[in-house]
Amino acid sequence: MHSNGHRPAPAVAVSEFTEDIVGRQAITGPRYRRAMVILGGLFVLGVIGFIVRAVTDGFDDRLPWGYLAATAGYLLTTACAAPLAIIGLRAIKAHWRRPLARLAELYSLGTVVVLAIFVPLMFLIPSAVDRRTMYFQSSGTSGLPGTLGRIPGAPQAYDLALLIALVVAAIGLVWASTRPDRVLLGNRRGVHRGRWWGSIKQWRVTTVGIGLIGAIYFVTLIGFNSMYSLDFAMALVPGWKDAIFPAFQGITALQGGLATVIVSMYVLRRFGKMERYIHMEHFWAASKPLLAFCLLWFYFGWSTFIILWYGRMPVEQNVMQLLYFGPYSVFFYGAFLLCFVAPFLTLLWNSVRKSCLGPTVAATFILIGNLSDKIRLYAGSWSVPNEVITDHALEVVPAARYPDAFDIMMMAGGIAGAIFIVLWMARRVSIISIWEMSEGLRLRVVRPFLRTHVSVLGKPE
Amino acid sequence: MQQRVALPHPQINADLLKNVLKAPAWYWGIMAFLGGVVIFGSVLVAYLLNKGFGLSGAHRPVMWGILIVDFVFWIGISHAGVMLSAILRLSKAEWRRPATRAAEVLTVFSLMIAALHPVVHAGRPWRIIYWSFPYDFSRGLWVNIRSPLVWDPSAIFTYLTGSTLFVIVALIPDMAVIRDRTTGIRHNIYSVMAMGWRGTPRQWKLQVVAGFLLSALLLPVFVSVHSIVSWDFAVMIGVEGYHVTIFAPYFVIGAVLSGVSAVVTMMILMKWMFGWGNYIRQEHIENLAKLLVVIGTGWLYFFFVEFIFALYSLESQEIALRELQAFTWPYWPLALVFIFLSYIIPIPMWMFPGVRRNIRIMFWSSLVVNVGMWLERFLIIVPGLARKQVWTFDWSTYHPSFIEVMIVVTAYALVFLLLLTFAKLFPLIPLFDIKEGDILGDEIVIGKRRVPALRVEE
Amino acid sequence: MAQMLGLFKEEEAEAAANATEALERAGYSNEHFEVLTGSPYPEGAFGEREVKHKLYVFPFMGALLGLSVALLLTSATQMAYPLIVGGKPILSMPAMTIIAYEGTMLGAILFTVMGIFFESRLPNPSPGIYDPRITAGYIGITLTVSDDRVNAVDQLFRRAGAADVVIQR
Repeated sequence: MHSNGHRPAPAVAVSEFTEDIVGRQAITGPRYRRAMVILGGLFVLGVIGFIVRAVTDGFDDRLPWGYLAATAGYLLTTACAAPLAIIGLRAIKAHWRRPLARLAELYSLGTVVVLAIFVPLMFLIPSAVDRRTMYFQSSGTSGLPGTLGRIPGAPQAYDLALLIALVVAAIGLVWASTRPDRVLLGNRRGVHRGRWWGSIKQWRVTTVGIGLIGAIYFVTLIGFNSMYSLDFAMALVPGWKDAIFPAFQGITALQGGLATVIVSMYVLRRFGKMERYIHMEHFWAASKPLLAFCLLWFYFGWSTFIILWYGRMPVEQNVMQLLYFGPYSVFFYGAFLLCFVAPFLTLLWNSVRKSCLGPTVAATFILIGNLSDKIRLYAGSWSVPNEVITDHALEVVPAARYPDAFDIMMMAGGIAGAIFIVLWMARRVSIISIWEMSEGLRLRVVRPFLRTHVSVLGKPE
Repeated sequence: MQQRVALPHPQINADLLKNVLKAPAWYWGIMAFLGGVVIFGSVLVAYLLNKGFGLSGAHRPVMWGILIVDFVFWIGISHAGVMLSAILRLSKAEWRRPATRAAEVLTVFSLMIAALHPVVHAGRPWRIIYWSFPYDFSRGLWVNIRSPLVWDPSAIFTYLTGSTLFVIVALIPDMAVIRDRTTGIRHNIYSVMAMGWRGTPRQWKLQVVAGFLLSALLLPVFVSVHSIVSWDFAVMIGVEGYHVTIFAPYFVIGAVLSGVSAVVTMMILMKWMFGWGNYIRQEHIENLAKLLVVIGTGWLYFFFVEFIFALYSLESQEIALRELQAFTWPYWPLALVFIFLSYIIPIPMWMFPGVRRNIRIMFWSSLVVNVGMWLERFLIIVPGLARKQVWTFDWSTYHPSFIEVMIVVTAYALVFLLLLTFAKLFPLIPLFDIKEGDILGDEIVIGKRRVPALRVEE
Repeated sequence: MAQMLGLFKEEEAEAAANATEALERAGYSNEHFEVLTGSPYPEGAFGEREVKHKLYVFPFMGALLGLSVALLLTSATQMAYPLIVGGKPILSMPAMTIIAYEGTMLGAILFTVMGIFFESRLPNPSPGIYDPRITAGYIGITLTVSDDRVNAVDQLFRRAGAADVVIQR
């Protein structure tokens, strides 16, 4: 034991852990059922909101759909981004990822909800011809320099293709990482799946495969996030030219993804009774990169702001009005406060970081702030009318459009849908990865070292 | 892959203090050569300052030539040290141990040398005092804090002060080791520098906490320094290609790529020069190579976005600048060399374990990254200024003069000279860190396999 | 009074830990003795007392001071020489923020380093009994005893497995 009284968490036997998790899989508690019903209900409400919006407003005008676009952006940078943290930690072989890995990976299936939202949204985006997009295409009559001529389907078809690739990668990631556990749980139920028997070769292929699919998911998510933020936000606002914006969205994804993991981890520990496997050390470890991501959020935001502020070009000033200090300023200040100021001031203190609640509170701030950020970016850019979309500059800053009941239904439905998928899947595969945790339990022992106790962590490669 | 061999402390002391206690003959030969180059370069600088900056190749519209390119380059190199050391410390990466000190020292010296470039470039260096610092002399003239040229010195000063103190704090326990192994005046000097260090639990605890705390404080400073350097360019609206929001992180990640590559080059040189094969092992170089693959790919993303956004604007001047940078003589061959050396050759190579484990290949491939990254800075700075603009009446291509080229060469020699001087006075690998690594090493037995393990305080 | 230093070989760390226990049994609490090592060991490895420090306070103090000085400097100089440049206000907060940030960090770093020295009790011109073998891997246990107990403590160290015992009167 340390002289300050802190002793490493005791080691748990692999068999004991396995039996515990397998036992939990057999029962679905009433609280769990209630959560699923509520989430399912919210999702249905979202679908109703969507139908009403489609019937009343149609698909001719983008303005009423801005909040749905923000919802897709939000899911991309929170739920869908949750696996990024685990993919990164797995790459550096951090042991503390193990109890969180499955939970985070299941969130990747939130991409299915994004796909469902994306399909109707893409019909609201005009063709890329004769306007600033990444496709540089001209009808030949606009007099724009250096463009490539018509590219069929741009931008929607290419964004859709990338999103489908992302969904496939998500399914592949979940399939590969849950395979050993599905077989184990199947065997316990008397269902024998013939093609997995856990040979050395199979384990090798599985672990390498998860690493590769994870890398593909990582790159594809960052890529799609970049394209979505460009085609569904920046390119809709004349004069908005911000090269850092796609990367900024990448940072918000890393921040929001980790925040999603932390909040879910707290729920799992508190309500899922997983205190034996999820310790304060997990929150403490996760809080450090979360603090770094808060600083990076500010850094990337500032890098845009200082250039636009310093340049004082009229074309940039109007964009700043739209996105920062004009009609959507309340959402900008909300994002600034909740994505940077509040979590930074919370996580600055080691005593707060070194607790289960502290990082969770900071992560909750971030999840709310991220939504505020997406509203200012997407609702803001979707409020620019089609008539001015090919202009060089935004001459008139459009007024804000605040969400109505149907917007709120769609947003809540989209978010609930992503969580519902996680809960639904968690009944089919365990919410904690049995094989990955077992591997970790084998590689960690608590030993006496002279007059203290230390954890000994194995590093096989 | 772990090849750690726990060595007794006396052997660690003897190995790592070899050059401090008795330098070999070749060491003095190299020092004499580098000293000669530095003296020659200093004479040229004095001549330049005496005759005026007209002796350089800079003239309208290209008033920022290779001295500014070299300034950005060395600022970039300075980023590796603290970044590498701080991130690896904070993440408690075990393989950091032999790399931290060298990386931190590289930061300090390259930052010093970087800061010298704009001083020389100013032509009348003494004026920098009242351009950059709040210094009045009763004339009522104060610096313009809205200028990034004032932001720069404040950032560099903070970074240089912080990284120097970082090195000094971590040197104290090693000073005690040298103190205990020297006699006479050297013993007295090292005794003063060791400050009465005895190795009490309080001193060690504070040493460890200091490592984390200073790392956490220096990381945001290191990011700010190159960001501010990038804003020297990016806040300008008059030069196409400069006014780009992504410049700050793009410069930072480029700096990290070149800096970490420089650390790899330096570590291999240390291994060869001082025979530190037991300390700088294959696994360290391999891990750094893996890190470089990630950093390099991140850099490529930023490079791609930066380039593509110039086209995104669909403005003829921006597109013309990209044509000049990538397709027009004399810049296109440089652009080709730059992208091949910075990314296309080394990064895919480093994806293969066989290459990562080959020290010779790693040496040369990490070296060429910095050739490429130097050219990158050249291609950002010079073509943007050289492009003919509407209100540019006096216009021609930039050619660096002999004096400028020699100043750049001298900068390299000076950094190397300072590093070797440091290696004579202090250990380039922290002794206590290596010893701690040995103490914390352990094993876990799983079946017939003995898995290398690490004792950690959770 | 005499200062004593028991020296234990690197590979006999267990003996050093035994010696601290023996000292405690002999009536010396862990506030009386100090363990000296050539590299950091996990805290509490020799049963030594927990190290309390307030290092974390120093960067906050420094940061506050640095921020105040930077804001004062940037605002006062601009007001003393009020020249509008590039259409920016005299007190340009974004520009001031950058220098204020550097000032804050500089203050935090300087105070942290001062804190490290202060909390480490360095520099220490009279550090007490010491032996160069400590930096060669030996583990030292040092304590101050009355003259009449020197022999007893010497025996205690040697019984525990000390390679040498240094006594300074």
